[in-house]
This record gives sequence, C-alpha cells and structure tokens, in this order.
Amino acid sequence: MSKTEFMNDLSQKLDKLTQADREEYMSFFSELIDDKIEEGYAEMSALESLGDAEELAQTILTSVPVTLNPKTEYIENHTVIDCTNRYRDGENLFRFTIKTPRDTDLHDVIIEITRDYRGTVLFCTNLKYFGESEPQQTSLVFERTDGVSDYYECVTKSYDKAGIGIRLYLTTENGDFMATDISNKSTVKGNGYWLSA
Amino acid sequence: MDMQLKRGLFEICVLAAIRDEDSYGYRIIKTIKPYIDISESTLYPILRRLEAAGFISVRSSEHNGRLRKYYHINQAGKERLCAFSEEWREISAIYQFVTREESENE
Repeated sequence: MSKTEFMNDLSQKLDKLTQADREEYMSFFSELIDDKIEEGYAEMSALESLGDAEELAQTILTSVPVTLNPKTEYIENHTVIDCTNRYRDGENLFRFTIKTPRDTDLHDVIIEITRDYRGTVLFCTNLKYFGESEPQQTSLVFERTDGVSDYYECVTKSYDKAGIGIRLYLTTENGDFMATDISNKSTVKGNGYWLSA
Repeated sequence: MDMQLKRGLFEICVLAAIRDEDSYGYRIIKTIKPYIDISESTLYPILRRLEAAGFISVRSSEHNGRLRKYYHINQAGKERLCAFSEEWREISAIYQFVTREESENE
C-alpha cells in the first residue's frame, strides 16, 4: 500500500468528521509519514508503524471533541429521538434512556449533557463513543427495541454534584432532528415540551 | 497505569517536550516515548486540546519543500508545568503516606 492509498483509506474512515477536522488529521498524519521517511523508514514501514487504518480512525473518532454545526437547523421531534427516562439512583448515578429510530448508526447521534435549566453544556460527544470518550465514567448499553425504535441506557456519575439535562441531535437522510428537556425555552422549530425527570 | 492519570500526564509531557524549543509532531513523540508510551493517534488530540486551552500555539514552517507544523509553549503552558510540579509534591507526599501504610501492614 502506498502513502496515497493509505491516506485515501484513512480519509474515508474519517468521513464522520467535519471536513475541517478531517483535513487537520490528514495533514498531521501526512507530515508524520513524511518525517519518518525522511529519517530513513521505507514508505511501507512508515505506514505500518502507524498501525491499521481502521484502528487509527477509531482512536481519532473517540478523541475528537464534537461540535454541532451552527448552520444545521434541527427540528424538535420527540417521536423520532427522545430521552424517555431520566433519574438519579441511590448511588448517585444518573441513568437515562435514549430512544433512536431502529438501527440508527450511533455515529449520527450527538448527545450533550447540560447543567441546570440554562443548558450550560458540560459534555458533548458522539453517542457512539459515549462510553469511551472523556470523561470515562460513562457507559452506554443497548436495552431493547420495539421494532420502531431502539432504546439505550446511558449512565454517568461524572456530574453527581450538578443538575443534569440532556440534549440529543440526530442527522438522517430525512432531516436533522433534536430533543431536549429544556424544550419550552428552545427556539428551534417543532413541538417542544418538558420531559419528566 | 490508570487511563485518566495517563491522559493528564500526556499533556504535561507534551508541554515539557516543547518547553525549551519549538518542536513538531514526530519529534515530540520521539522525545516523550522513552518516558510514557504514546501513539501517533493519541498525540494529535492532545495537541489540539492544549492549543484550545491556550497552553500552546502552532505555526507552519516550510521544511524540505513541504509544510511542517511547529508547536510553541505559551506562558499559560509554562505556568501549567509549574503548577504540575507543585501538585506533584503533594502527590509525592500522598505516595509516601500510602506506601508507609502498606509497609506497616506487612
């Protein structure tokens, strides 16, 4: 495999990133490969030293801070995506259930953990990596499907001294949707309502 | 080593690697690898976090007909290193305490 082929492969595996993020990473790895070759590595050895492109992409995807595209207009629709249950258990763990359309690729879902009713963002990540990216004290477990929607249980103990709110964003071929528990203060289109905590 | 602890140490090691001289990705890895095992894919997110926090700044410079990014430690980054030294004194005291307890129990 040549450097060009490797870079093309990696670029495809990073297609969930924004173009700007992807270009940043591609540029970084291109420079690394060139530096290794300049130091005396054969091109193939330089590529092999970076490891498998798939693993490399996964490591990158779990590390990239997620930011919402401010130009995307999300329509609030709790029938598509929702936080159907949210509570703090006796061990100070926050547990919440997230509903997504059946077989949704979790790369397409962004979750924001927020503090209080003003919605200050404490943590934002791709739902796919909820249990893997920082902070580590989180987990995501597939719970069940009813044939129309999939349900996941998310757990975090990272913010046990803060109030917890949740905002969810989903990008699909049919549009961009969101759900938030501060809906009656949101300015997005759609029918917002308070979730019961 | 605990992953959370390791992540914090990665950032400190990167800052230390560019404390005396601006450096670039590959050289930073080579500088700190004898001390802490860091992969290429781990380094870049750390550099971006440090930049976003204002600890380092980045410039591109031509090298052998291509552009290479050089990382420079800012004043805030130097202060972070100083703060780490202070924190480490406290951690060291805790370590002394913990290991003393263990030897007393043995």
